[in-house]
Amino acid sequence: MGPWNPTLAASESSALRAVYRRQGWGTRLRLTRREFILRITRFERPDPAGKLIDTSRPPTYLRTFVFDYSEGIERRVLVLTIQAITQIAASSRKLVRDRDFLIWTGEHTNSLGMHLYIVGVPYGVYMPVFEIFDEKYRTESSFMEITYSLPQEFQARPSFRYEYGKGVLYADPFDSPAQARAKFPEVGDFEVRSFRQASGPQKNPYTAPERPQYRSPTRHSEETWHRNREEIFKFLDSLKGPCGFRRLRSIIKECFGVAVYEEGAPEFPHYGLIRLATVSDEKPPAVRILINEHLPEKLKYIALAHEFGHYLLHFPLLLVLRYVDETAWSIPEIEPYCRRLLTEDPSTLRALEDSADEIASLFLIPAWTHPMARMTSIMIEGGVSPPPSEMIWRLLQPLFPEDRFADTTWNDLEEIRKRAHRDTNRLRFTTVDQAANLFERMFAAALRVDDVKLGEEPEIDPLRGVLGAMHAVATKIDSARESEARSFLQGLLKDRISEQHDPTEEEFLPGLVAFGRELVPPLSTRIIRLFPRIPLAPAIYNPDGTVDGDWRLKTRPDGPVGTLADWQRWKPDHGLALYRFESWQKKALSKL
Amino acid sequence: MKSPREHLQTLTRDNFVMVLDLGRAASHVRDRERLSVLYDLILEHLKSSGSLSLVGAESTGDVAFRIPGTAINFRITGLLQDSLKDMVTAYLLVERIAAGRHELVLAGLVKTVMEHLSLLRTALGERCIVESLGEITPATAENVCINLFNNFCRYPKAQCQFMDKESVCTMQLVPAKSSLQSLEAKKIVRRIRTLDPEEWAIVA
Repeated sequence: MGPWNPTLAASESSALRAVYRRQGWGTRLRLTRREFILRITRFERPDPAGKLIDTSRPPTYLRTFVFDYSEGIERRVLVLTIQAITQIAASSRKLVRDRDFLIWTGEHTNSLGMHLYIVGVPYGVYMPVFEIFDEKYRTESSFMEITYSLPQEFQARPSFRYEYGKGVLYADPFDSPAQARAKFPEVGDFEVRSFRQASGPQKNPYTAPERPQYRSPTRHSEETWHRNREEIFKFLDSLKGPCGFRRLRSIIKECFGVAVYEEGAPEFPHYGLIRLATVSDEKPPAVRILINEHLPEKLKYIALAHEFGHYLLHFPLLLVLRYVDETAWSIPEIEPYCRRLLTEDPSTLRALEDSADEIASLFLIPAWTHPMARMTSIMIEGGVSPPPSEMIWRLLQPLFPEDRFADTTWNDLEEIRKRAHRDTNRLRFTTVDQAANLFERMFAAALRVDDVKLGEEPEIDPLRGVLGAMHAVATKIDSARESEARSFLQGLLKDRISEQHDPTEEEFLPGLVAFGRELVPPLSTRIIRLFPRIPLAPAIYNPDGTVDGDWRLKTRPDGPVGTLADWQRWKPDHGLALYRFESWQKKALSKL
Repeated sequence: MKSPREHLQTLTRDNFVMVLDLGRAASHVRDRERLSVLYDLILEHLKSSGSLSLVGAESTGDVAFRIPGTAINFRITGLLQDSLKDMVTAYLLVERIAAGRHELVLAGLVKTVMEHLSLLRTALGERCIVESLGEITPATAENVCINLFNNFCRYPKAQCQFMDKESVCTMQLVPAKSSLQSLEAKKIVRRIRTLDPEEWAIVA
């Protein structure tokens, strides 16, 4: 091999140039940056017929010579290819001679019904090399045109390799070299090998965003949140495309002060979850997002974007919910009351999820693309502009693990249109609760975002009423004694429930289990009664949070430690609220 | 041995391939609609084995990402895990002969094919050959051979006669053809094209 190795990528060229200069090699060395070069390697084992196997990734584009298909075209083109290869090998110019590339062939029937035979050379191949092929192929009477296409569009397979002055014929893996030469006597002394296509790297659908310079504190008060909101909206505006889970996680953590952890506990039933920390000091709480560890990376990105959407839009609700959780330690009635406020109108929670989905969709299909009709109006495919909904459908494809339509060709256009149309129609008749998968939810959210008319009055926030009622209750509780507050809330609960029917005791019960929290009923009362709770966290030497381990008061890390039986004996009429560790906390403890 | 609780996880349409560790088998199904059908089949299978329970994930202090569709908790054992992998293989094979059919029809066919799969002898390479028929297009003996030859053995513990010292498959064209013919005699596969190159499919 000569000093100039064309299989090296162009990015290495400047370093190479310096080396060559030092070595005194070729001052005339000229590197063709625009040339797409694929590394062709040798497979370590032979094929079934004992021939060597070359392997390479599929090229992105090929420059193609198109011939009208006729009888014997393969053989005629084969002869021309051999002539071209021989001429390249005999060239006096090193840059022409010292190359390594594949020649692809395939067939295709176009939309006019014409059957075509197509030969492809690497896209952007060194022009004098290309001209040699051009000169030879134009002598064939069925030659039609030069164009460029994706290899999968004409089921291209490599037929030849030009390897530094040597020709290689790729034959059927079951044919011996002698059999292959007998089939193609024109190849003369060309080496015969077979070819195996290596799987190409998956195209990365993400791009690096511009990182905000802004830095938020990790404790989030309402003022901090208001400042963060502005910066997050600026960040969303600046996004050129989806940025991927790891990048988004790092930006959310470093710039917006929200910690992100992957939760692997089998009890974790969500894709993602946002929660505020319980704090024993007077400072505002920290915010953390948990993402299900058992999701594919692409879905983790979407789940994170969704949870971050909750932070952006619903932080006041998170604050209230934390207050409810902590107040329920001594005034348990507040929990079923507030849950009832949130859930009695199903549209409240749905609106909450829908709005977070809409923010998440902006992390998938960035704001600058909307309204999509503006983009599609300048596109013509098969004589018509694609509908905006179809374009949104297409843009979402590479962002989900089922990426059959992520990397498509013109051959797939009809199927894409059919699927997009079908999915759009299905979403018209389903609600978010009926969405079968994450794709449908994000597709629906992106369509809603695209549908928003500029200057339109925003809808009334469905949370406003709920938050108002919760604030009113909180004000009352803060100004009353504990027993008064409890009887006040019991009255409110009875009023709300008896609107429909007589209350049952079960209706006063909060759920006993939520992720990371479990309620243990008190010893001396029956389970169906509401009870004050002692908040407990696993002590440092019970890092797994096992129930039979030792526990301490969650609000007093330096307080006494005891088993659940000890705590129940201490106040037999109180229940225990167990806050088990999350996976990241267990990991941190195991390192101590 | 792990306790059943350690295998308890939430299963959804979005995560079942990863959670059930079906990545290799399901890598040939990259289509959302086909995956959705496969999920329904797997769910039915898990239901019939009594491994499922519905998830109730309420939580007051959290704003959680509510899972689209019905999330399901399942407990899984090693045997069930193997049968799920067989199910994906069976689905790939059935798709070749009954694409676009109603789910109930597919479910019936998948069940039959799973029974066929249990008759295959892994040590003689029969299993890999039949699996390949669902992975390649067209399903010819040549393509089966290319699909297996020189690749790492799929079942190294089975001590297959075609596995070499480096656990690589050495299945040649002639044994692949003769294996297919013997499977045809056992009524497990059949020819769907008798002209050269012959194409094969599973009997269901």
